[in-house]
Amino acid sequence: MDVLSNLMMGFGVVLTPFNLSIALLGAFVGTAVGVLPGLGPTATISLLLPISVYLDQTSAVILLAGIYYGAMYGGSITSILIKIPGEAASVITCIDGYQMARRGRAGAALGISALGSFVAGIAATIGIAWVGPQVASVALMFGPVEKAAMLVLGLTLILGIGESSRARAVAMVGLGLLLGTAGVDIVSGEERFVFDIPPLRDGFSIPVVAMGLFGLSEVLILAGQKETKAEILGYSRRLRDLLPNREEARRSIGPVVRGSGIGFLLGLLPGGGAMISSFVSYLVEKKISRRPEEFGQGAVEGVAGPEAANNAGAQASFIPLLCLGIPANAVIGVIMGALLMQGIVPGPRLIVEHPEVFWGVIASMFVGNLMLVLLNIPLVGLFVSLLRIPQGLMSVLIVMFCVIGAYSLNNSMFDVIAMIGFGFLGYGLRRSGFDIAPLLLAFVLGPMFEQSLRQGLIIGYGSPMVFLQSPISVAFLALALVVFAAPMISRIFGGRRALAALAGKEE
Amino acid sequence: MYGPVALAVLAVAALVAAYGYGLWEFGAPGAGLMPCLGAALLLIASVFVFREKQAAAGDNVHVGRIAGYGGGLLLLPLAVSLVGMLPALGLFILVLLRFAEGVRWRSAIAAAVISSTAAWLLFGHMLQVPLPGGMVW
Repeated sequence: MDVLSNLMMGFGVVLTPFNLSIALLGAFVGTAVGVLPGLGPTATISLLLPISVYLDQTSAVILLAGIYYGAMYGGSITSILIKIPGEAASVITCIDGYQMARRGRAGAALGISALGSFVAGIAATIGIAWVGPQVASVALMFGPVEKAAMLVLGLTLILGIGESSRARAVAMVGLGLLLGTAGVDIVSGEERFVFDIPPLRDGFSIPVVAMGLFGLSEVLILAGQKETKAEILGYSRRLRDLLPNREEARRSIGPVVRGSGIGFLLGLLPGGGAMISSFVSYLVEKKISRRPEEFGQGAVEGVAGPEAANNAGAQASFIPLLCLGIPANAVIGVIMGALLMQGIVPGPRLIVEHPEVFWGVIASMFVGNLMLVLLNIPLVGLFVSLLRIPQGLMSVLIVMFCVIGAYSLNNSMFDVIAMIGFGFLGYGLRRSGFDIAPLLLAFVLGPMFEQSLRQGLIIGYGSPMVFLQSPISVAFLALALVVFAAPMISRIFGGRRALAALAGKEE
Repeated sequence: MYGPVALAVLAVAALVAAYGYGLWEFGAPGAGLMPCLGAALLLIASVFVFREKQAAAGDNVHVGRIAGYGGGLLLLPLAVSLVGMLPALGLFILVLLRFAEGVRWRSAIAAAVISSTAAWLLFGHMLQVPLPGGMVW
C-alpha cells in the first residue's frame, strides 16, 4: 500500500507538462543514440551532463534515465535492419533479428523487440518499486565501517565490467582511485596533485572526466576508423506488419517473461546490467528451446528474450545506485555524477531525504517505456534515417558539445583543457586495450570510499581490525574476496579438469 | 607495450608523492593513504599487464584523420583565447570537415555556421552561459 501511495506521489511529479516533455525528449534522444553506432548512452549522457544542471533534480534524472533505457530500444533497430548493434547490449539481437529481417520478417522482429522491451521495462519498474525501498531500509543501518566494506565489494564487482583482462581492470580501478584524490584533502586540508594550478584544488569534476574519456576519445576512435556504409534491409512501415503474427506472439511470451526475470536479477548486481543480461537470456533460451537449431537462423525467441532482458537489466541497475549509492555500470556512474552535481548523494538516504526524486524517477520509467513503445513502432523510419548522418559531422558536433559543455560547468577554460587531456588519455588507454568504464566508476566511488575508510579507521582507533568486527562488514569483505578470487579459482580448477581430461585421453 | 610502462611510471611518481603527503598522521590515516592505495594497485596491475600477451592493435588506422582531430583539439584552447569560443569552434568544424573529412567547401562552411549559431542559441542565449571571447572577437 505504501509503495502504491509513493508511486502515486511519483506520478504526481512526472505527470506535469514539463516533466512529460523531458521524459519524451530523453526517450527520443536515447532511441536516436541507440540507433547510431559508436555514440553510446555513456558518451551521450556525459555530453548532456552540463545541460542537466539547468534542470531541477528530478527532471535531470528523468532525462538521463530516459536516454539510458531509450538506447536499449534504439539499439535493436540497427541490429535487426543492418546487423550493426547501435550499442553493446543489442549485440546479441544481431544474430536472430537480422536473420528474421532477411526472411522478410523485419517488421515483426522490430515489433517483438519493442513490445518485449516494453513488457520487461514495466515488469522491472514494478520490481524496482517493490525491492528498492527494502534494500534502502537495510542499507540505512550501515555506518562508515559497513559502507567502506560495501564500497570494497562495489570496486571488486566493477572489475568484471568491460572486455579487458582482470589485470587491466585493476589498473583502471587504481588509476580511477588515484585521479579521484586530486584536489584538497577534506580532512587535513592538504593539497594533493594540485601542482599550483588553482582550479585543481577542487579536483576533476565527474562530467569533465566522463566527457573526455567517453565523448572525445570516441571521436578520436571514430576518426581512426574507415567509414563504412551498411545496407539497410527493407521493411514494411505499416503498423499491421510491425506486429508479430499469432505464432510469433505465442513463442515470444515465455522468452519475454524469462528475459525480464534474468535482466532484473542481473541488473541488480553491480557489474551486471543490460549487456550481460541479454547474453545470459539468449543462452538460456537456446538451452531450453525445443528448436535450438533455429537459433542463428531467425528464431523469434532469440530476439524476444535478449531484448526483454537488456531493458529489464538497464532499469534494474538503478537499484544499486538509488538504494546503495553504487553505480552498476559506466552509464549509471555518469548518472550518479549528475545527481552529485545536483547536490543529491545517491544511497539509502535518498528515498528518505528526496522521495520525490526516487519515486519520480520510478514513475518516469512507466511513462518513458510507454512513450518508447509508441515512438518506436511508428517512427522506426525516422530513426533509421539517422544512419545517413555522415560520421565526420557527428564527430565535430560531439567535440563542439563537449567543449561548450565542459566550459559551462564552471565558466572555466581549465575544464575544457582537462577534458581534452582526458580525451587523449581515454584514447590512449582504449588503443592499449584498457576498458575505461572501471576507471570512471572507481573515480566516482573513490572519494566516497576514502571518506568511509578514513572514518572507519578513526572509529577503530587506527586499527583495520574494525572492519572485521561488524558482521555486515565481514559479509561484504568475504563476498568481495569471493568475487575477486572466483575467476582465478575457476581457472585453476578448469586447468586441472583439462589436465585430467588430457591424462584420461592419453591413458 | 607502452601503455603499461607509462602507467607504471605514473604509479611510481604518485607513490612518491603520496608518501610525501603522509600515510598516517596523529594516529589517523593521512592525506597520502588513498593516493598510495590507488598508485599501488596501478603499479602492481601494470606489471601483470606488461606480462600479458599484447594483442596487436588494429593496423587499419586512419593516421591522417587522427592527427587532424588530435592537432585540432590541442590547438583549440589557443584558438579560443585568440578569437573567442564560438569562432574557434566554427573554424575547428570548417577545417576538419574540409581537410580531414573531405567535405566540399560550401557544405563545410554551412555546417560551421549553422552549428555555431545553434550553439550560441542554446548555450549563449537560452542557458545564458557567458561564452568566452578572445583578443580578436
